[in-house]
Amino acid sequence: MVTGARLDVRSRADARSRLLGELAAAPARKGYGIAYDLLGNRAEAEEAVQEALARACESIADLRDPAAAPAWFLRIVTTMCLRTLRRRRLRRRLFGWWPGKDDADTGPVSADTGTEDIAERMHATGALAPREALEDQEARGAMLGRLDQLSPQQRTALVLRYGHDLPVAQVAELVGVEVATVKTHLVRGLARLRDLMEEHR
Amino acid sequence: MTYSLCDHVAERLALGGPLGELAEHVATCPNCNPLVAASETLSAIHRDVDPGLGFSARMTIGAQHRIAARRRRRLAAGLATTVATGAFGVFLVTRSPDVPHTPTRDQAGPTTSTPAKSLETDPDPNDQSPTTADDADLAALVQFADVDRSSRLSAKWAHIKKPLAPYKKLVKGVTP
Repeated sequence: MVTGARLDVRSRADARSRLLGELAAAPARKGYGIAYDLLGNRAEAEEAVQEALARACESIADLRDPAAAPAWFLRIVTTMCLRTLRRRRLRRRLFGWWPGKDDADTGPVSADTGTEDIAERMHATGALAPREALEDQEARGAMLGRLDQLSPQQRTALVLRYGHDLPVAQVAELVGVEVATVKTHLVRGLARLRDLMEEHR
Repeated sequence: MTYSLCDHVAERLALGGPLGELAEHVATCPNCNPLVAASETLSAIHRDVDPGLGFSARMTIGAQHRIAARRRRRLAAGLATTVATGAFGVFLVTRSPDVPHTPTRDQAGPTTSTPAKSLETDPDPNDQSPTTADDADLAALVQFADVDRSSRLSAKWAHIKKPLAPYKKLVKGVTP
């Protein structure tokens, strides 16, 4: 009986490390892409992916179909990102009045437009001239700043739908809500974004 | 409920289908035109970002650290709960039995019979001196004494002494 229990524990540990190895490759990269676009900075994106990996490994018993592991993992990543966005929003509401704390560490725009990042992007977007790359980067920063003013759900829906070009059904699956809810978030989010863009002009 | 053309455009945009016959409306509508522009600008958000060298290893190690930390935290929480439960159990087993509760004057209310009753509840078989009548007198005296009232700085002694006057006469000349 004891041996059986030990075997069970060992097999579970094996399955866990196998799953970790499997998810840390391609699915983690995809998850990182989503997290980066949603959160707007690398550090938070890596945090979200690591947390999602840990959670996936801990709740391996809930996974019925091993083939569905990557999709399941991406869903956890999205949930983690949504949680981070909600926390960020709450922090801004609570401490936004505090002088000097101008979202330097929380906002995606300023964190994203750090000099190191720009240099790295210029290398990454080799096809673009440095000036174009910088302008492109600025435009992206401005868009992220506007997205920051939307609700976390609207932001997530918009980024996944238009940024990652995912169909509405898949967005609904990732966010864990009904398709109709995603559509509502998309329509309202787009309208709000349009208003913000008009204000900017 | 009727849908306007703008609603149709918004839905088409959400679903990602081609605008088709709505393109004419979009070109002229001041609401829909910026909406389409916003959706197009959004696609610029996406970057095929390179997570850098050793990404998988970083993620694996980070996740393992988190799992281990969470396991330690869970263990500590379990231990703390066990210790707290044990301490509570020991307290329950070793605590002394309750002392019978004697109501205070405030709880007993204004009637004079309550203190007398509480004195009568524990009769001492060896005690010979006070009879029941004496107990009643004693209780009345205690009632009149009203320590709370008389200990106050603003106590009115004339009021306090007045009901004690007959007893004072009784004990006059008696030395304890």
